[in-house]
Amino acid sequence: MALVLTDDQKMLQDAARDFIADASPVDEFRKLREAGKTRDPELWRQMAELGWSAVNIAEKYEGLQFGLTGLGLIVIEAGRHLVASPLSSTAAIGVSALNLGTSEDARQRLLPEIAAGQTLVAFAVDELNHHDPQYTSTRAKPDGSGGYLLDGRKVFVSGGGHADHYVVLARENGEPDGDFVLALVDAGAKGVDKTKVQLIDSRDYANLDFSEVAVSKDAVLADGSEAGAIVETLIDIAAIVTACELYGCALQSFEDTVRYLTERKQFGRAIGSFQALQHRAAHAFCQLQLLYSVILDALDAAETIRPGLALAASHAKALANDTTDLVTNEAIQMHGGIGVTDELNIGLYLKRARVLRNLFGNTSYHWRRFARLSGY
Amino acid sequence: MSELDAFREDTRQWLEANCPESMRTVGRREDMVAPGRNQKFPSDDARIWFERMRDKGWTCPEFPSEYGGGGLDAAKAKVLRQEMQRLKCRAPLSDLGISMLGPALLEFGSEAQKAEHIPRIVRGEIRWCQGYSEPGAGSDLASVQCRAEDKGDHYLVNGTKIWTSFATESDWIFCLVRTDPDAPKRDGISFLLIDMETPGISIAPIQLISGDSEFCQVFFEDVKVPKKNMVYEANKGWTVAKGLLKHERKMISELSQDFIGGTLTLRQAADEYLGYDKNGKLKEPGLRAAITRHEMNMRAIELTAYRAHLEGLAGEPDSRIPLIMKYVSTTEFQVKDELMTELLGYRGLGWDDAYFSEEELKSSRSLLFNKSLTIAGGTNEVQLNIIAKRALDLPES
Repeated sequence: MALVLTDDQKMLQDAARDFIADASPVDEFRKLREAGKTRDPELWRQMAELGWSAVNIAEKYEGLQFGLTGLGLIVIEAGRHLVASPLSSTAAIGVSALNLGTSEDARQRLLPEIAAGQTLVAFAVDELNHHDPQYTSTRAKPDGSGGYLLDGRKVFVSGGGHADHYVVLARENGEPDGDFVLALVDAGAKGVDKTKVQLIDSRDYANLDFSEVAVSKDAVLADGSEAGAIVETLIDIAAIVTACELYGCALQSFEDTVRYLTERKQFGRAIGSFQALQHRAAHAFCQLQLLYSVILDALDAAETIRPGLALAASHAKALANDTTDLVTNEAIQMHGGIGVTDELNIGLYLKRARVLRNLFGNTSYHWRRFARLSGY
Repeated sequence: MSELDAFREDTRQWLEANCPESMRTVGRREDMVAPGRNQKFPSDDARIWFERMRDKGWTCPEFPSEYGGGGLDAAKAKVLRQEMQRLKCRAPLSDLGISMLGPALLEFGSEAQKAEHIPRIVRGEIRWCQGYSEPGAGSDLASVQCRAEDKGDHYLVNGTKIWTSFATESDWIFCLVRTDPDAPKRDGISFLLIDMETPGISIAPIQLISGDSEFCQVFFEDVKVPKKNMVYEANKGWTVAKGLLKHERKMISELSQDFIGGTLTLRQAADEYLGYDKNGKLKEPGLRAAITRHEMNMRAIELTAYRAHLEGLAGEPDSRIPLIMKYVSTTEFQVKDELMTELLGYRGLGWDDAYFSEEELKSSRSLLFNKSLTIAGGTNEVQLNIIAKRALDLPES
């Protein structure tokens, strides 16, 4: 019953809710931002201690083997409190790259370290201003012994500033129709140049330049004719996890707003008693309920890698983008003047949400993809 | 084999043996079998299918067997639904008595009322219609004015009801009437069952923008109604009505497009009326995006209905979900109609001319008729009021 949580999943969700609300409320994110930092290593150590870095890792690599739905539930809670952590970039997406990839060596080397919270991974996928893996041009030149030499530039890599390893999407020989190559690259490898980038959400991003970076055979996660399917699945998972965080952002800004509607008084009464606002809030509530169903379905599709994953992923990401746009905009408008101040959290949710919207596909990208997958 | 598995096996065999082939396809609106004193069947197979199901009480599978119903518990009723869906069996009988009044009578009716009415609902002998709205009581339903005066051995009813579907073809009507004009408005309402053949009742069909006239206005002039026909208690009709409205909203949100629209899907219409560019994309990028949004919304609604179903089975229903379903689904049905009309262009705007196909005419009728979906059974605005109050706990406006 994929649309209803199991008891174990509910326990994990409760634990995540309690821990995050206590250890990393939005004030903690504000402190990081004031200090000019984009991560809190101590917080990640605690999250790893709770096993969250290991949720999506199999037992034989010292993981909990709890599945992506469980991880998605944690990401939703993290989204609610604007937690700046490698949960998505490493525990969800980085781990999925290793899980899906063909290199057993890479799994044995990295997964136990990731599970222990000691290693961070970032997925370097985009090269342009918009996400569309079709336009990947980073060149992976075969080195003759099963490895590659990488040349190219990746931009706005989420978690790229602190990562120890990059999962880099390239094309064989850089040809537009070449097979994808998914390569694991050490952040300190020769020929890797990193430039940190600041976006409106005050998180960790970097642009990466690769110049004749050597990738050994063991570090090739996918290539040849099977790479296309692996890469598509990986990006689908990334889009779904990103949709989870968007949902968390939307849910919290909605709940904060509904509370404000009952507290704020104008014309001698709570503004939540005005029908103009009630109807808009009720409409947003409906959209959030619909989104939650789509996200649970997509998480199940990601966990089981079932046929239809691509459609479920594009549905989840497009709807999460759309609904979060609606809810965060309404949240600001319903708060009025205070809604556009830095003092209020609502603005922080909006800033995070707009970046998440562009990660792994904006709304029209996923509309197009959904239409293509549906055959029109 | 568990008892439920055995029931499934028996049910499957029985349906295979007894459901005529032609009843195993998606039906159109005119294929629905309605009950009544002057019952007519769209085909012989429809009659045979109805009679066989009726004899098992499976026109109303969950009604108690002492009143002729199927007497199935929830689990078995679900098995029956699943097996019928598997074979694509049509509903053998459709009526407000089955979907709305019957459940309300079983909950609130007297023993005598159940014994009188439930078996006739199961056997399809009576067609029921609903007398709720009045010209001055639409969204504000509790302000009904249709008066029922206590005359000792009977009630004397005077007033009018409007938007009564199929009143001209119905045998009985269940009505909200005012029995105490001095009480606060919700406290003076009673729930009355009235035989449409009673002297003093007249009916005027209302022509809609779609050209249909299934909605009627019903007039009551000194209509004498026996006191035994009052359900529950005098002045407690609002309680019955609220219970019944839930059934109505659920029914409207579950209406499938197959019944309320044509059988043409947006995809088929796109193939036939719009076509694709050389990359295999629909020719109009704007329409393509709009259709995508609609399909995403429909998929989200279906997943949410399924989630609610599973949550119910797991014993943890989220009571807020039923509140949203009517609003979101009827709104999206209308989006589909508009998209279909755009796809068909002029051919989706035909009125009554040999120039248009049956599907095309259905599309234009559906566009117009379905505008009532966001009004009937509680307007979108009333639904949003309810969500704001009950799901979000916002203060009274």
